[in-house]
Amino acid sequence: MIEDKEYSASRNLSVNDFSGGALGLPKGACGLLAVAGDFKLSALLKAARCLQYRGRTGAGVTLKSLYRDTNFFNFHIMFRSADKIAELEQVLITMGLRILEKKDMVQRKYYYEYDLPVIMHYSIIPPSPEEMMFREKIRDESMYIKRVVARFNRMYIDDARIFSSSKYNGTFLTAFELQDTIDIYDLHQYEDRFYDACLIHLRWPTSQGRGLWWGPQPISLGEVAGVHNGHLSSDMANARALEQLEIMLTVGTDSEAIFLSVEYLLRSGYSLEEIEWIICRKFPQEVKLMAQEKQEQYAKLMDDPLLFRMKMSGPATAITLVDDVLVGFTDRDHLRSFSVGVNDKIALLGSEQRAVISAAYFMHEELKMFDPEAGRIVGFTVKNKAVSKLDYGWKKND
Amino acid sequence: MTDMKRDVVFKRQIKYTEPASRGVYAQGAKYWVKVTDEIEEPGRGCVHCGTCVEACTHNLTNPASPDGVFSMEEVCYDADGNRVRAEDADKVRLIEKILWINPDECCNCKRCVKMCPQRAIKVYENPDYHDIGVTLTGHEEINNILNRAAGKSSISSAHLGRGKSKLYTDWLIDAAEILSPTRDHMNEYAGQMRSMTLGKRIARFKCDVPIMDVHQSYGSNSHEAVLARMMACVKLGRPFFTGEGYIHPDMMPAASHCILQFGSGGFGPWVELDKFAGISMKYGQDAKKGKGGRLQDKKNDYEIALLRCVEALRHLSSPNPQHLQYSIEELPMRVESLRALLGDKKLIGADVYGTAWNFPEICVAIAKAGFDYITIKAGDGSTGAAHLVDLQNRGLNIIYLTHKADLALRSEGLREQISIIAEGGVMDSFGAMLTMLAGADFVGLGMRTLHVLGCTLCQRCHTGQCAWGITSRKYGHRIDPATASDGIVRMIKSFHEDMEGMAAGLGMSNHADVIGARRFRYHGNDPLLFETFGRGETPKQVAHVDVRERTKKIFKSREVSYAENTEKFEKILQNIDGENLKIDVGFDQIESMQLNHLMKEAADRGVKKFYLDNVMGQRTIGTGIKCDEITVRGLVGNHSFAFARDVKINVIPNHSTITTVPANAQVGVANTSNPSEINIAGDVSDLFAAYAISGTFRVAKSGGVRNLLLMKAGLPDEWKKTDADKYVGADKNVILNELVRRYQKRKARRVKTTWGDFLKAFEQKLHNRKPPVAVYGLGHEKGMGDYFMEYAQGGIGVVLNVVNRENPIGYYVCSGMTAGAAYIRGNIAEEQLGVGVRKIDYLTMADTEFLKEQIDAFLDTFSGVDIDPEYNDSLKAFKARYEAEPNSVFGGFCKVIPISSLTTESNE
Ligand code: SF4
Ligand code: SF4
Ligand code: SF4
Repeated sequence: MIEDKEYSASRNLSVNDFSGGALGLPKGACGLLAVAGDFKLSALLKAARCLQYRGRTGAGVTLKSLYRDTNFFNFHIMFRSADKIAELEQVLITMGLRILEKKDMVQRKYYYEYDLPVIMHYSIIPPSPEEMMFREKIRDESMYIKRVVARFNRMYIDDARIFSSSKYNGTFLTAFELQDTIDIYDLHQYEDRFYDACLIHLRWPTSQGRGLWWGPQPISLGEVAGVHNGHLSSDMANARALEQLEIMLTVGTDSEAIFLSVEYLLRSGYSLEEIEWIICRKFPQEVKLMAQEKQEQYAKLMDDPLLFRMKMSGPATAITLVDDVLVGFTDRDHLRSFSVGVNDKIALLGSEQRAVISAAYFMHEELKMFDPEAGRIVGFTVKNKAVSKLDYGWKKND
Repeated sequence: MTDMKRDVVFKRQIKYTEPASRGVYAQGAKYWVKVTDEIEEPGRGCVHCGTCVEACTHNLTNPASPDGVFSMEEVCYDADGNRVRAEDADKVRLIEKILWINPDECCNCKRCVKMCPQRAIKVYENPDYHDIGVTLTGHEEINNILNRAAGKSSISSAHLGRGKSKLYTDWLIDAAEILSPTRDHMNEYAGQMRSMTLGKRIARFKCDVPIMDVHQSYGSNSHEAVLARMMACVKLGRPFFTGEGYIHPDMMPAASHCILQFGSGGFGPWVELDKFAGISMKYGQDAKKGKGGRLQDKKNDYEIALLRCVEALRHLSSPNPQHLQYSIEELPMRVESLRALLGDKKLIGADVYGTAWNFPEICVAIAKAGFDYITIKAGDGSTGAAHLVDLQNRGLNIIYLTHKADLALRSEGLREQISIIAEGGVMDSFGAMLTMLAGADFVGLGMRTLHVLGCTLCQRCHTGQCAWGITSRKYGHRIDPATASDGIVRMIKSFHEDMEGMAAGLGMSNHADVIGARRFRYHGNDPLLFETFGRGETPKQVAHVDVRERTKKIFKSREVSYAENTEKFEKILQNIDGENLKIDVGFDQIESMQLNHLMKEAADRGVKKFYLDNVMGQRTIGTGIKCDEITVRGLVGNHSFAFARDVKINVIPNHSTITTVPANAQVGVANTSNPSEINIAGDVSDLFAAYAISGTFRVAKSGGVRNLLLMKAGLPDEWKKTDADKYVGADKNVILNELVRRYQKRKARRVKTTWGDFLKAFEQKLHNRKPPVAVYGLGHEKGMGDYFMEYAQGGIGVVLNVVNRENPIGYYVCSGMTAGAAYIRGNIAEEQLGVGVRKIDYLTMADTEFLKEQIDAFLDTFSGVDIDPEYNDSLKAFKARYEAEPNSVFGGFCKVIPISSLTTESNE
C-alpha cells in the first residue's frame, strides 16, 4: 500500500515540499553575506558562492532599493499550484489591496527544468488611509501591508507565500542553490539597476525535504528582511515574547523571531547598545564590571518581562535590515562566526571572513576587516549608496 | 616449639562491625551479608581462609579504604585468658580468628559469594533498607531524599534504565509457515548473517557477525577488560569500538581492527591514524542525554594520562557539546576534515542518541553529511556513569528509533549509503533480531559482554572499585584477557546462531532479507509501540523517495578528484622542484578538497615543502598531508591544519592585490594537532588549536572564543615510535599472538609489584613530554575572546598584548581548566576568571625565563613580516620596550592556574 494523498492531481508541488504541511519547517543553519553601500551585484554574488558548502536547499537574495522608483508595493508571491492563483488573488483583493499589474518572474523553461512553484510579481496599491483605518485601524500604509501580508501568509501557508512585500526592496528565493536562484530569476538583469544593500543567504536545512519553499531566507516582511544561521534553543521564549506583543510570526522560525524582535526594538527607540543587551545578553560578571549608571539602565531593561524573554541562546549570526538600517550580531557565546569589513564606500557583513574578503577582492576594494567580539552588535545606515557606521548609543527615530 | 604449638587453641568467630552511625541518615545496609559457620551448615561453614577479604574491594562510605566488607583479625590470649601480643609467641595459648563483616559497605557484586571455597556467603537485599514507604513513595524515593539531604553524591553507573527493557515481552517474530516455506539454516544456505560490511560507500569494514560491541573507554574499563573485548572483536571479525579513551600503545597491533571514538574531550595523541579502521564522532550518549562526562581525578592515573595526553590525577572533563560542530551544517565540514585526514577508505561514524522528536532529521543530516555509519543509542540501556536523574530520563525504544531512522533515510534515498548500528536495551538474540528486522544493519550489545567478564550489575563502576576487575584498573588482572575473550566469542556465536535460526524460520536466506523486513508484531500495552507495530503490516515502500541528495556528492574521492582535474593537477605538479612545490591557488580557482587532494598527490611524489599562494579561505589545508613545511600566503579556511603532525606552518598576509588578504585563520584551525610549529601572522577565529596535543603555536594578533579549548599536555615518546606499521595487513592470529605476548610482559611487571609502584613507572614518562605552547600577540581589532583555554588539561597559553590593550581578554578565562597555565599581560578583573582557577600577580624566575624564551621567538617570527601598518608599529614599539626594559614587560603579566593543581593521590 502506498500512501500518496499529499500529492495533488495537477502538476504541482506537494504541500510537504512547499510548506512542510503538518510536519512544519525544517530548522536551518547556513551561510550569510550582506553588504551596504556602493557595490557591484555580480561581484557579491560571485563571492557568496564560497559559502555554498554551508547551503544545499535554499538560497535567497534581497536587493535593497531595487524598486525605489516605483510608486507601489512590490509583492513576490509563490503559489504552490497554478490552480490556486485566481482564488488567492481574490483574497488579496478582499484584504483591500489593488492589483495594478502582475507578471511572471521566471522564464517558462525553468519550470521544465526545476520543480518550481509559480512565482509572480504583483504591483500592489494599498487602500486609501480612510479605508485602512476602517479595515485595520492603521493609518500607515507600510504597517497595513505588513499586517495583511502576515495574515495572508499564515492563512494560506500551504498554498502560497508572499516572500517579498516591500515598497523598495526585492527578495528572490528558491529552494535550490545560489547559482540556481541567480539563473531562475536572472538576477544579472538587475546588475545596472539601482540598489544600495544586499542580503544573501545559503541555507542548510537540518532535515528531510519538508517545507522547502518556506525555509529559504532572507525572510522579508514589509521593509524588514533578515538572514540568520544557527538553531536557537531560545526559540520558544523569543516567540512567546513577540506573541505577547501581538507580533505574530508568519514563517514561524527562530530566525523570523530575531528579525521581528530587532524591528520592534529599533522602532521602539531602543539604542543599539540596549538592543545588544536585550538580544545578546551580557554575562552576569560583565554586568558587575559596568559603570554604576549603566548597570541601572541594564537592570531596568531586564526588569521588563517581555524584553527579558528576547535573549537569544544557541548558535546564531543574524543580520537584519529594517528600512535603512542594517544590524548584525552573534549570540553571546559566539557559537557562530561573524566578520565585518568596512571602507568609505561599503560595509560587508558575513558569516565568515572568507566571504567578506572574497567580496572585497571581486569588488577591488581594500577593507578594514574585523570580527566583532562575541555578542557585539554592529549597525550601519545606508541611504542612496552612502553608508555610515552607527555608534552604540544610536536610536532610530521615526 | 612443637610442644607449645600443640597447646595453642584456635577459635573461629564471625562478627559484624557496629554501625558507624545512628539516626535517620544512617540508612543501614542495602544488602545483608551473611556468612554461615560449621554449626549452621556442616561441611559448608566458613573456614576463615581469607579469600573473601581479598575478593571484596567495595567500600561505599570510604572508597579510599584498603578494606572492603570483610576483614580478618587475629586476637591472641594467654593461658589466663588475658590478651597478649602475637609476637609474644610463647605466651599465646588461644588464637581467636575473627572474620569481621561490615554489610553497610556491600554493593551486591557477589564476587565474594562466587570466590568462597565453602560457598559460605549469602548476600541478599536487606529488608530494613528496602521495606520502607508505600507504593507511591518507596525506599528509592525516601533514600534519594535522605542522600541528597546528607549531601551524598547522586552518581550511579551501568544503569539499565528504570524498569524493564521493552524488548522482553509481547513481541512476536513471525514464522514463514505454509504461505512460504521456512528454511533450514543448519544444513542449507539459509538465514545466514555473515560477510556483511559496515559502511556502504567506499569505506567499508568486513564483518562476520551482525552483533557489535559498544564504545567503552580505556580508563572506564581496565586494561584487561579492554583487551579481552578487543581480542574478542578480532576473533569474531568485527570492528572494536574504542570509546573516547583511545587505546593503549600495547594494543596498536590491532589498530586496523579498531575504530577510534572522538569524544567531546578529544582525548588521545591522534597520531598514526592511518593505521586505524576509522573514527567515530560521539555526539550523544545514552547514559546521560545531552551531557558530557567527567573522569574522576583518581581514575586519571599516570598511565591513563599518558594515553590521553593529559596531566595525571586531575579531573578530566568531556564537555557537553562537540565544540567543533555546533549544528548540523557543520557536520559535513567535520566529515570533510576527517576524510582529508583518513582518506576515502576509512570509516567515519556518528554516535547519536535517539532524541524526542527530530531524530529522523538528525539521521538524514548525518547521512547527507557523508558519514559512513550511524550508531543509534536508544537510552534504554547504557554502561556509563550518570546521575540518578538521568535514569529517569528514559530513552525511546530501540526498535522504534531504528524504524524511524530507516524510514527517514529511505525517504531521502540515502538508506543504502549508510549503515545503521542500533544499541541500547538489546538484551539478547531475540532483541537483536527484532532490531535488525526493524531496519538496523548491526546491533550493539554492551552490558552482555561485561557479564562474561563477571559483571553482576552492582552499579559501582564509577568508583573504580569493581571487584571483578572490569571497571577497576587495579584489579584488572582478575581477568585473563585471552580466556575471557573466548567466553565473549562463544556468547556472541550462540546469539548469532539463534538469530540465523530465526531468519531461517522466516524463510530468509541471508541478512539482506532480514534488515528492515519488519516481520514482527507488537501485542503489548505500550501505546507508542502498539500504534507503530501493532496495527498492521508496515507498507513495503515509503510514500515518496527523493534521491536528489544521493546524487549531490559533497565530497569527491581523491581518485575522482584527480580524474576530473588531471590536466589542472598535472600542470601544477610539473612545478615540483625537488622537494618543493609552489601552488598558486588563484583565490577561488582551487576548491578546498581539490587543494587537499592535490597536495596529497604532490606529497606522494616526494614534495616536502609547500608554498601555497593566493589562498582565500580554503578549508582543511594541510590535513592528512605528510610533509615538513607549509607556507600559506592569504586567509586560511575552517579546520585547516587539523591533526597536523611534525610540520612547520607559516601563514603570511597577501598584499599583492588591491585587497589585502590578511594572514588570518578561520574556525577550528590547528585543532587536534601535533605540529612542530604553526605561525599565523594575523588573527585566528574561534577554537584555534582546540584539543592540540603538542607543538608551538604563535599568533601575531588575537584569537576568537574558546582558543586552546581542551589543550593537552604533550605527546609522550610512546606515541612517537609505535611499530604499528608491522601489523598493517597482518593475519588475525599474528595480531592476537602479539597482543597476548605484550600482555604477558605487562602482567609479569604488574605482579612483581604493587599497583601503585606499577603506575609510578609511568610518572617519569609524563615528565618527559613537552607541553604545547601557544603565544598570542593581540591586535588592535579585538582582544582575546572568551573561554580562553577552557577545560585545558595541560599546555600553556601566553597573551603578550603587544598593542597594550587595557583589557586584553574576555570572560570565563581558563574556565574548567584542570592543568596547564595561562600568562596574560594586562589587567584582568577577578570577574573575568572562569570556574576553578585563580590569578597570581607575581612571576617566579622560572616563569620569567619561560616567557623570555617565548617572547624572543615571537619577535623573531613576526618582526620581519609586514602585517599591517598599525600592527607593525605596535610590534616595533613593544620590541623596543622589551629590549630596553624587559622587566617592565614581565611585570605586566599575571598567571592563571587551576585552583588546586594537585587534587588527589592516585587510586592507591
Ligand atoms: S571465603 Fe568463605 S571460607 Fe573463606 S573466609 Fe570468607 S567466608 Fe570464610
Ligand atoms: S557481594 Fe561484593 S561488595 Fe558485597 S561483600 Fe561480597 S564482594 Fe563485597
Ligand atoms: S562492571 Fe563491575 S562495578 Fe560495574 S556494574 Fe559490573 S560488576 Fe559492578
